Amino acid sequence: MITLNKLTTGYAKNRISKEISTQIQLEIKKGSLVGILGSNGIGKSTLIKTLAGFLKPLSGNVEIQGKMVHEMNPQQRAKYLSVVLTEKNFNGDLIGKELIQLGRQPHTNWMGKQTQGDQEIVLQILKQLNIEQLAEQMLNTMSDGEVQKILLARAIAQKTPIVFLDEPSSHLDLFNKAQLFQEIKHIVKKEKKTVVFSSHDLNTAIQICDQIILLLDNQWEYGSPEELIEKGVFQSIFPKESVFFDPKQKQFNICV
Amino acid sequence: MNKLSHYKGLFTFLIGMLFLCLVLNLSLGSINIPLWEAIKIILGYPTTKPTFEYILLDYRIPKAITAMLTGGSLGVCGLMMQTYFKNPLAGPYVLGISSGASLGVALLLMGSSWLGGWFIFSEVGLRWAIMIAATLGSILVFCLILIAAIRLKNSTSLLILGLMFGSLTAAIVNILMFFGSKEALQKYVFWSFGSLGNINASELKILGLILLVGLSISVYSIKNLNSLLLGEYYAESLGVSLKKNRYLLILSSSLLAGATTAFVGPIGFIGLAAPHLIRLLIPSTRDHKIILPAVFLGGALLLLFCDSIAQIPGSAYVLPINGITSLIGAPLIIFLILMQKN
Repeated sequence: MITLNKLTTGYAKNRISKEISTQIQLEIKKGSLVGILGSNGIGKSTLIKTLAGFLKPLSGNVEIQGKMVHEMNPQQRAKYLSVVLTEKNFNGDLIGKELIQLGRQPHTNWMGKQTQGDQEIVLQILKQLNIEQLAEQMLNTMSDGEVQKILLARAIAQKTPIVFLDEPSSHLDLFNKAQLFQEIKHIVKKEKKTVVFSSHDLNTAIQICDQIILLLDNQWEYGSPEELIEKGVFQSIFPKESVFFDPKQKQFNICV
Repeated sequence: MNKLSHYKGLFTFLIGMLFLCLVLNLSLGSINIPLWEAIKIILGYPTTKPTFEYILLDYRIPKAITAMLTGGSLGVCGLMMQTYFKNPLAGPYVLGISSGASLGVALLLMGSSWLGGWFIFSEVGLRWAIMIAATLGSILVFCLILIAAIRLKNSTSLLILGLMFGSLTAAIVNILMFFGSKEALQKYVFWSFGSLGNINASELKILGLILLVGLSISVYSIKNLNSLLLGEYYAESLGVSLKKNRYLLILSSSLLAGATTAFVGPIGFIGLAAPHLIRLLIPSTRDHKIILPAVFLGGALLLLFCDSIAQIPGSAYVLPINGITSLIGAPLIIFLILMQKN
């Protein structure tokens, strides 16, 4: 379970702090798929990075199973949560399998020695995600969709109860996106993991999420897609003359 | 990750080459010692020529060990910096530690010549004074980098900072040289040529000890270096505490590059070329458990090879080692880069 206590995210620099999301108070249940939605620049990434412990909250706190995320050291955090980020400044010479194996690092000894068990976990995940053909391929020869699958595989290999994904589906075509979310849905159901992802793809998120955190200017909404539709909050995200929300179809349409 | 045994071939090759190069290196010099005699003396068999034994044991073997130790250390240092900064152009000198050593030596030589007093040192005294000055210079820059590193957020800023410290110290050295006396200048230039052969057994022990500490830290950092292949955010999410890791890497690279520069002078390109060479030999892994020991052997091999060339077989001249390493290292890197493109 993840609890956000009056969480205010943002950046603090030279005593001037820029608040991005304010006073978020909510609970994310174990084994649920949660989407953080909102328009560009509203603070989805900042929220994900704060939840995952990379950024310090301006005020309030995040608790994971009763422990404050920002008081854990990286080793402790690595056992609770794994991440897939938008930053792609990893070494392009890495081969797929080696990258996934790095997910086992928190469970290895001081040298990072991979045991038989670690190797089996990696092989099993390669099979589960159907990416065995990428095992020996270098990252800089892979497509965006393939890289994203490898990164997801790495996060799964870390075997944490919680996975955070920052914009996992951007740059992916419809087919790859569908595959990726099917896989995510699968690990939520089968392995009872809690998955929180950010996205600006509202239509997809409404279809697949259990709960949605919707970030709006200076406010936020939290609930299941149905609850939020009933509340009518989706209508207010975009100017009506450009994009409108159709509650019956449960999707956004472009005005043409 | 990959087991060490998968790469047995690579290590056998490197160790074999290293041994070949070692024998070659020992037999070369102003006096040619036949290969067979050299092998016999290394293995401890009695020899008919005591002069050979004297030359080997008192001069060539310490020099060869110095070459292997410093070459290997520079390679490892370069590898750590390349991984940490995610920059294939990074080398052991990017943090400016060695420039600090140069500054120390320049201050000693030029500074004391202003005071009119460098002649108070005997030959041996001057050598020690140079080592101490170089060490102090390295420590000075090390402290500055460390203070800055506490404030810095990411590795790119540290890279820029290190390069700036390097430029700053180089500028001060330039100005010192402008005012320096002819003798002091000459001594400084000779120091900057680098020299592997000036080290006696007791100095070698001190150098070896410092390098051993530096190398131990780098071995301890292997796991973190592997995590860093994914970038700093991912590394942190895998349990690396970035600050602690950064301090360890600064400390280790300062010990390796600083001690090397203090004892044998600046040696270019080995630290840059060795990691590239090893990565080309084994493209199938980026695991530092394999790469790091291989780079140590590769660096040792490269410097030993360069030293063999610097002897100019059959002549009494010894060319400046720093010139030879650059002369061999730069084309090697060009070659490796072109190979990669294919």
